[in-house]
Amino acid sequence: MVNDFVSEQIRNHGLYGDMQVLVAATKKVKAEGRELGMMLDCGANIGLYTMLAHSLGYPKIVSVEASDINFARLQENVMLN
Amino acid sequence: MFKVAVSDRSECVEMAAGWHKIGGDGINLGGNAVATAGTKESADELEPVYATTLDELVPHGGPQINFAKLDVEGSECKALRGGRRLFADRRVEVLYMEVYPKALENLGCSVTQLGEILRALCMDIDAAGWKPDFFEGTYDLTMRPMGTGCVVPEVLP
Repeated sequence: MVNDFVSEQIRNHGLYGDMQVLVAATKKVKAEGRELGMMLDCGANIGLYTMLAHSLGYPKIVSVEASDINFARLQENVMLN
Repeated sequence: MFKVAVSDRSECVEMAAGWHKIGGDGINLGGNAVATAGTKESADELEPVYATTLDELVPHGGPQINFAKLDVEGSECKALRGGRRLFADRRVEVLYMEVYPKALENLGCSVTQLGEILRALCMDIDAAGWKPDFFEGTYDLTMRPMGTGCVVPEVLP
């Protein structure tokens, strides 16, 4: 299945890629007293960064995913969250 | 949410699902790249997909993009070329990319060309650390825009 490796990484490490970078960038915006604007997730896969951005309070998120199976999971995950 | 691929123009492409798996039945990395002669052979399946540009996807004149992630399995050069206006307008505050040089090369680009495009887009690639990703040969890069004196040219390299 397309997402086996991604899923295994999450099970083993709790994170995929370097998601702390998103957290740090977001904290910086907030520390500067600015409102969050938009997060762009290009190659969203099943939506991990998209969902993290949502939980961090981004008012606008643009998620782009080309694969059928990943896009279906992305939609499911966004609906559930 | 958009079910599209990103490129430097609107076009129809084929996606090669799971093309850079390790071994015959090895780990599938979740990679879905635009298909080339090389990746078609090792792909689990091919899927026709509509591709468009970042400048078409992101509304002009909208809010600042506090964080942009680009993880497009080798299509980075084309994707960035299709986002010229976005970068010229200095909308992107932080760009986070996953770069797999082999995937870039499969799609006719190179790390050197990627650097040239990012510099032209006024993104400070030279200050970004190449942090090895958990997948060998893949790097995570985080960068911010150069100073306001930098101007994005009309034609990108």
